[in-house]
This record gives sequence, structure tokens and C-alpha cells, in this order.
Amino acid sequence: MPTANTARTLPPAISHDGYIRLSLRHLDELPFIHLDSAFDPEILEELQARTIPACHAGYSEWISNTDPAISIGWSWFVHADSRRILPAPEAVRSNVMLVDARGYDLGPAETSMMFATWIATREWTPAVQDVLDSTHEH
Amino acid sequence: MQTISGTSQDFSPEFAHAVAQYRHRIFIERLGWQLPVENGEERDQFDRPDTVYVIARDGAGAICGCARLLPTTRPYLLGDVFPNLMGGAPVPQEDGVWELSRFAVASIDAAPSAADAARNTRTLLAAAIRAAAAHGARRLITVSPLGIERLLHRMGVHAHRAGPPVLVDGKPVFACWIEIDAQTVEALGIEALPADARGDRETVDVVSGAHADAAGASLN
Repeated sequence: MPTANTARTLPPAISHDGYIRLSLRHLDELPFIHLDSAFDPEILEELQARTIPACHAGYSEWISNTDPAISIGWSWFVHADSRRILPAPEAVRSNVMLVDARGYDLGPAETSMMFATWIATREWTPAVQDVLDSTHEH
Repeated sequence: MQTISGTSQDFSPEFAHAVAQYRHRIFIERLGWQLPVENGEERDQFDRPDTVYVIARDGAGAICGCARLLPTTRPYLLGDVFPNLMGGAPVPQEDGVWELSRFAVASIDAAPSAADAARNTRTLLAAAIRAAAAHGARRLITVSPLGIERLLHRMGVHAHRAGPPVLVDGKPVFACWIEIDAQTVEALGIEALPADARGDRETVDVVSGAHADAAGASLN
């Protein structure tokens, strides 16, 4: 099995189980394209049911500019008080299995948690702001 | 809620008709999907004699949920209609992979509480996985809207994307893998998989403990 260091130099590939395996460091180096962001009333309802102070909510989808493409999506919401655009407190969804420095799977749960770090380094809120501005509601 | 599974040949004509009518009420009338319709029934080319159905009924015997299972070794929805959702990977065609489709948990005449709806969703999904496993499935593949993906993750099911979502009728849909593994079995409180499904996999005996919190789940 390639280690995370050797895997870093290899392009992403689809494993037998459908996951694309790579390290967070490798993921950080890949260019991503905004695929789609939109309001989603179901997400807003789900968040408000958990007493999260959301006044707007939706999803944001991104893909890597690679072949095969890495797909990452998450829910977002606008905080009712601060009006900040924030990632929703739930699993980040993807076709990725992150691996550690030795190349071993981190597992689905930790992969999703690690994506929080990845999202924090990305300029994704402008894409959502465009959605908000398009309805003149924000 | 009780569940039963079988092919159309296992059901009476009246029951099969009731299932098709239920699918019409949910997928055509309520969700507005553009699907083939005949005489108030929703059926398509994948409703074959070998298609496996998992049907849920409430205490009064009314249908309140359905799921459809197809082997990927024969024509199925993702393989025939949505191969582009695989993100460049070939569509699965193997005995251990079955497709889950037409999954819905919704009463026609009643409005269950969110807690009941969540529990019913979990029950039906568990029954569908048991039925698939009884036919040798080790994994499921589905064509789903994003809401189903969130639901599966909240339930703790081991689910992951096959590729990027694609807009279909203006809504993003994607191909979703559901692993029939210890994580999924535990999340759904499945006490033991059927004997036919064990193969070289350990029998899993678990106690229900996971929590689901969504209502009205449905997927293609």
C-alpha cells in the first residue's frame, strides 16, 4: 500500500470500494471548482428543529479539477444574529476516504471531521453569498 | 410498523396493485416525479418478476413504506439510466451489489410524529438491508437526492458517494454506496444478518442503540 507521502505524488484514483483515498495534505494541494450552492428548506428545517439559530440554509457542492473528480458537499446556514455564513454542524459528505501518514484509512467519521479543517482553508462563502444576493434576502 | 419482503410473484395481485398505487401516491402525486404511470399505478421497466420489494404496513394494514431491490447483474436504474453518476467508475455488475430504489416512508392518511417517522425510516431501511443481504448483497447502490445522504449519515449508516451529484429536473442527485458492514448493521439495530448473507463475514449480533431523526425519507 502506498504511504501518504508516495500517494501524494500520484493522481487520485478510485479504489475497489468506490472511495478515493488520499491524505489531507494531498487533498489540500488539489484545485477545487465550485459545482453548485443553493437554498434548501429541508436543511433549514432540520437545523431549526435542533434549535440552531439559522435564518437561511442550504448546501454547497465542490469538485476537484482532477480525473476522477473528488466530490465534497456540506450544508451551510446563515446565523440569525451575526448573519455569518457558517458550515452546518453535521457530516461533510464526499467520495473520499482520508488516510494517515502511513496510508491507513482514517475511517468515515474521522474523514468527515477532518474535512472541517479543509473547509476552513477554502474561500467557499462567496459562492453562498452569491446565492443569498440573488434573492436579495440577506 | 411491520415489514414484508418478496417478489411480485410472492404477493397477491391485489397487494401488488396496492403497492403500485402507493408508489403513485407518493412518488407521482406527492413528490411530483416524472415517472411512467398506468391506471393510477407507478411501475417502470425495472419492476420485473425477479424484483424484490420490501413493504411496510401500519397497525391497520395500510401500506406506509416501500423499497425496491434489484440485482446489478441484470438491468437496473443506475446502470441503465444514470451511469454518469458513477464519477467515471464503471457501473457495478456483481452478485454482491444490489440497487435500492423507490424507498419511501410515508403514510397516505396519517401524519406521524417526527420521532415515529424517524423510527419507521430506520425500520424500513433495516428490513431492506436484511432482504438484500438474504440475496447475497454486501453493498447497496442507490440514486438519491442530497437529503437522503444527510439522513443516512445522521443514522450512522456507512454511506458514501460514488461521484459528484448531477442536476436532474433541477435537483441534485448522486449515486450513493451503502456498505452492509458492522457500522451499518449496528446503526440500524439489525440483530443478525440472514444466514445466506454470512459467507465469510461474521454474524453480527448487536443491540439497537442508534438514533435517527428524519421524516418522510424517499429516494429514486
